[in-house]
Amino acid sequence: MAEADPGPLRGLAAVQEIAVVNAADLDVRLRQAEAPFVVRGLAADWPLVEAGKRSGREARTYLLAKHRDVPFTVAVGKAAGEARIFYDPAMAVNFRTLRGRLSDIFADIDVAEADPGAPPIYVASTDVHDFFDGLHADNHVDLGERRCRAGIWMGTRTRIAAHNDFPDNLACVAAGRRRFTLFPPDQFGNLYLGPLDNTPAGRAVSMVDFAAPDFSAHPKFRDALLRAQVAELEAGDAIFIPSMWYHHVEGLEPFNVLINYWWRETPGWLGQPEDALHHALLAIRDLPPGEKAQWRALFDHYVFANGDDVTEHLPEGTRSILDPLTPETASRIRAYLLRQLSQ
Amino acid sequence: MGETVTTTTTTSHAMLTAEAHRELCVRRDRDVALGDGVMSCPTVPAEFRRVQVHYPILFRRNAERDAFTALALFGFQEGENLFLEGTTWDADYVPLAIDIQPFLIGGAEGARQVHVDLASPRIGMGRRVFDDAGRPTSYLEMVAGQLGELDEGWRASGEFFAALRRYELLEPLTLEVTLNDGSVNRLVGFHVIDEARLSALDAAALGVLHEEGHLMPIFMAVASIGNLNALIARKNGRLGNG
Repeated sequence: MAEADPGPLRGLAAVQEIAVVNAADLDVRLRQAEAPFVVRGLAADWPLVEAGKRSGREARTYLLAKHRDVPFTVAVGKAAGEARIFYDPAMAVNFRTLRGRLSDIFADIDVAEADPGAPPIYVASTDVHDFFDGLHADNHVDLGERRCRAGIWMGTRTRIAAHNDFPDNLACVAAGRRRFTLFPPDQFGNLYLGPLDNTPAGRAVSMVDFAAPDFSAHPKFRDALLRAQVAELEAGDAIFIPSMWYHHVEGLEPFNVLINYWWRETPGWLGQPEDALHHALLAIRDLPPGEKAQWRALFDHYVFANGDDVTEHLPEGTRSILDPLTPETASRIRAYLLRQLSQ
Repeated sequence: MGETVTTTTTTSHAMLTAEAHRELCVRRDRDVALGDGVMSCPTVPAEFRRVQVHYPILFRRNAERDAFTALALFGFQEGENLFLEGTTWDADYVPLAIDIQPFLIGGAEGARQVHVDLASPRIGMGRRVFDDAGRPTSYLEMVAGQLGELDEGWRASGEFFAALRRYELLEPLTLEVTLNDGSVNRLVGFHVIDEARLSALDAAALGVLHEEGHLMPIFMAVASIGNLNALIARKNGRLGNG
């Protein structure tokens, strides 16, 4: 199959593969992991995986039987036969987002999956609990005490540009086949990221076309490739993508389903680092160099180094938000910021 | 119930028993000194119909950011209750979470008990809770009914907010109110029903929401927003008097 050809990215290192014996073992592996890993067959016994192995249509029938009759958000490519979910030449996204019934979306996929020239159709990561009833119960990985957001991705052949996410991510191919090309978090400079705000799906993406890299425009991408790891997953296989690792994801079959779990190891009531970055762009980046240097020193003091010298001269009980945060002090900061920003 | 508003800074909760609290009396009047100076109190979907007659109903995430609470709004800043005028509550319906004070729900799920906050300034004189024979008074019976309603309401709230999330019916509210004296009051951090999304729901979605019992409270919350103007008028009225 042509799509299985890794093209110019031949010869990349493979993602480490491990075997896990049970949920407790997986839990330990996830907590200790400092790099991605693949677990073959982790979801092999899911009814959805079994249905998908019979056919894409059977996977869809299975999903329709479990879905809630709520509007789903679907993306439809603007260009026929272009699986790459990206920007058009004017830097507008190259797909339309619509809302519709899952049965109607699947009816369109019934037609599109047989037609290699059809534009991609996909339902991007959608909450499994909110949009399905009983799907999670019969098709999930036991992740112990973790509070996860379980998402489902369903669609035809696609190629999602390399991007990263803040939460840790365990992704299971439930139907079809997927290729993940991963890069460590420090490779952002070699991936030529697009805008932070105008993005295909909320995260800045690499402007490099992995199917045909333009090394004259993106020479440092060669360095990124030296650090890349690749894994091709069949239905039932799972991959752990640690927080902030970049991933380029290809759905390789006419119909592909991914169920993934996102969680953060830190409390959910902390803020989003991405929001802090946006605020820093707003407030710091365009200051004169001298002022910027002062703020860099203050950020180092309060945020990055955060040593004892921040608070040791203050009596205990008076340190307020300089003490480790609690849900209450976190909501005080949030209320303060909301108020300040709305002035 | 976990979400009880505590209007006193110190609390001392005890399970209410006729033996330990035979002589207990509770003040039923209204006063800042009794803990009524609050800008909001929690409410539950089953109460929205009664609450929306007087109060805006807003939604807010809890401090842990893992759940929403519905709130009846009385003012625009911490400690401001624009319905409280001296010792009068100027509305003919006082929300359950206020009216039950100083009682609260204790015990495990399925074996709920009436607890009382013995540190509340309401304790000391006023209405008897038990009669001399140790039988609950009609007052305690009423409070027990209210606590039961709130407890049931809390348990139903999870489903209500799950439905709001499923249909993406919550949107952040930023309200900026310029008062007659030119001062600006801001409400931040609250959510309201997204009316555009609500209007766009088709008959099937509305049918499901109705079947699950969520449709009435959703529309009651929408209707309650009309009370914001009345609340602003109360605030301006205070400025005039001040």
